[in-house]
Amino acid sequence: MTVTVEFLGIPRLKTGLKHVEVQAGTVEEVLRQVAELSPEFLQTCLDEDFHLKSGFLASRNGRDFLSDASSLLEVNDTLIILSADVGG
Amino acid sequence: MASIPNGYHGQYLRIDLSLRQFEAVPLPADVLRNYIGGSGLGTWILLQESQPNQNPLSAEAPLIFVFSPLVGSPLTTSAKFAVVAQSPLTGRINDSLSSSGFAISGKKTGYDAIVIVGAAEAPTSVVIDSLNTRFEDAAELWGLSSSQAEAKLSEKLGPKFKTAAIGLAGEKLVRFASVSHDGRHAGRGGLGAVMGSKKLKSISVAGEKQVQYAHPSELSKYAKQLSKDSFGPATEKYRELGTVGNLLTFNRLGALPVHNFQQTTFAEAESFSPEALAVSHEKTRASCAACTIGCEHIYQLKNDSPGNSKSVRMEYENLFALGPLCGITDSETVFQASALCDELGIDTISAGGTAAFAMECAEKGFIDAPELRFGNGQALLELLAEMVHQKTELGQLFCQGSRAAAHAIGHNSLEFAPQVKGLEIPGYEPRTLQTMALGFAVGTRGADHNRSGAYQVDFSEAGNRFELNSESIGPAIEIENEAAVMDSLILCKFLRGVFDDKLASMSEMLRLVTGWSVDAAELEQTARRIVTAKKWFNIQQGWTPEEDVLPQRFFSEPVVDGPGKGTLISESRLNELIQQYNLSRGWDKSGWIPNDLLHELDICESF
Repeated sequence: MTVTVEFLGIPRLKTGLKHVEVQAGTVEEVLRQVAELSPEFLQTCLDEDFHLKSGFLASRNGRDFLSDASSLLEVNDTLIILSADVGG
Repeated sequence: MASIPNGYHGQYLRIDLSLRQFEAVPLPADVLRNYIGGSGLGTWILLQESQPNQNPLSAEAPLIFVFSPLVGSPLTTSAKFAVVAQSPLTGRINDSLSSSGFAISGKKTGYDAIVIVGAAEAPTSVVIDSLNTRFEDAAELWGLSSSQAEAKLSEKLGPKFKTAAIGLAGEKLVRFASVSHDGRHAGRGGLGAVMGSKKLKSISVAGEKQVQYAHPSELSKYAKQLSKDSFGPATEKYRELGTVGNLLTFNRLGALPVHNFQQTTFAEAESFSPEALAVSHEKTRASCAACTIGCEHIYQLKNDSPGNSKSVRMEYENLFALGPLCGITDSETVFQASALCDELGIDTISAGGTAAFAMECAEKGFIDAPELRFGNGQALLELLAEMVHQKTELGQLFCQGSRAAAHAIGHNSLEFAPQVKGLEIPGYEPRTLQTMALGFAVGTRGADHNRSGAYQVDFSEAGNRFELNSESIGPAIEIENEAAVMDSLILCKFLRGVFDDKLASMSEMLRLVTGWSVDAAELEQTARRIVTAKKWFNIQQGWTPEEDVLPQRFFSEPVVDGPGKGTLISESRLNELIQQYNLSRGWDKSGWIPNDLLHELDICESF
């Protein structure tokens, strides 16, 4: 299943990508594939279990925030990986 | 005489500009422990020095500069001061924070706060050091920008004196005028106008007085670790991208106020991304004194600004308010507008909010201003200047902010004036961040993202940000409490991500400085006291429950775009949650404070 992944904040800085398409069914599968594309993303944004570190969030289609890496994605979903801290 | 706690001088300097007199006023140790410093201590002093139903621009109304027990310590980000007064924009309490050398030098004068009452007959500068306080003629400074005044005073007094000053806007009593120091601003709520009403152009401070620390070696060790942690991943976004990076995120999540809150996304948002701005403009980085985070991103202007600035500090708030909120797509114009606000001495959020409101009024035909349209950068720049100079009808209409302008314009324009309690709304769309909407409604300062911080609940899995949830009230209060303590210590909120347990960490810092056996539970009670004391001040100045409301637009106009398309705020549900919030604070459901709570929290019951 093709999922579009968008990057904002530090995840965009580390991957150097605005977005990418991957084949994945869960959040964790997405993160593992992005980690293969970008070692810097892996080092900065993911823990040893390939889950997002504190300070980063995953949003499905800009509506829900998904903290459970096993969350299932659906066809045409967009997963947005972003820096959590706002303010300023 | 009771001993003075470590970390404090145990007194404030009270200056009467009318009488040209000054005196040291003792600060009881229990007050210092109950209110800490900064925003909290400023609230206590404000309560002592104010009269009920006072005019914020009257001579009698106090203006308070407050330091804190951590200022001057090796703890990173602690070089901050609070400016506290009744806001001429809202009529309610306003505490506005700023940073850097003024805080460090001010604390060295030997006072924990500087209180200004009265009004000078002619433009005046006050110069304070450890030995003396003197009043100097400021006729030559009157009319200068704050940075120009600072430069002249530095040349005259020497570099050890640090100065906080107002620009032209403060002198002309613009209700959203700022107080500035070293290019940073105590921006919100118009405290520059309070200073201007006293004909006080500037305060310069220097000194040699040091405070003692209870556990200096432990404090040094703790501070080293905190500095190390503050340079880690928790603050990388601020350091590498700056808060301007928030704009794309807010846009993608449909939380970006656009065209005076008529839209939640901006088609040209990518042109304001950190990488686009880095290509379009040269950039350098800087930090406040005694800060290891280094969040400031300073962009070079392509053309000198009207006041000949070469560069401008950009944050999310000035970028959103002078960009998408006004429909401006060109980053250079936004930078020019922000530089102009700095030069004139006005708060960028209120300036942008008021300008966006003016544009919508003009587009609707409620005012005669054919050039004033969303996206017209030249019209924005002209309106900003007019609001300060007040030589045109438009300038005179909008110089008191959007609420006052709406009352004058009529046509039910108050329904879309972007303010709560008169304070223009920062860059958080209430319909798609509904815990933040609650925070705006109940905020003692008005629409405020620095005291509430309820958006943190919206940006989490905890709740549905498109609905009002009673489950969000507890976390929102917890965040508000943490902010009350941080703003009183004072520490930068960008440290938030560094702490596992914020109140526990902050209590440890306070223990190391003061020697008090303070813990997280005590700080939670301190936060309750400070938030309630602010509310108590507002009640003394005429607050009623009807003020805890949002503009009607958010209840009646659904979001037209983005992930929140179709979303509204339920007015009745918001009122229910406001009542629940009030009860959770220990107030009655309308927000009045029971006497027994005032006793429990040791808040004075009368002036």
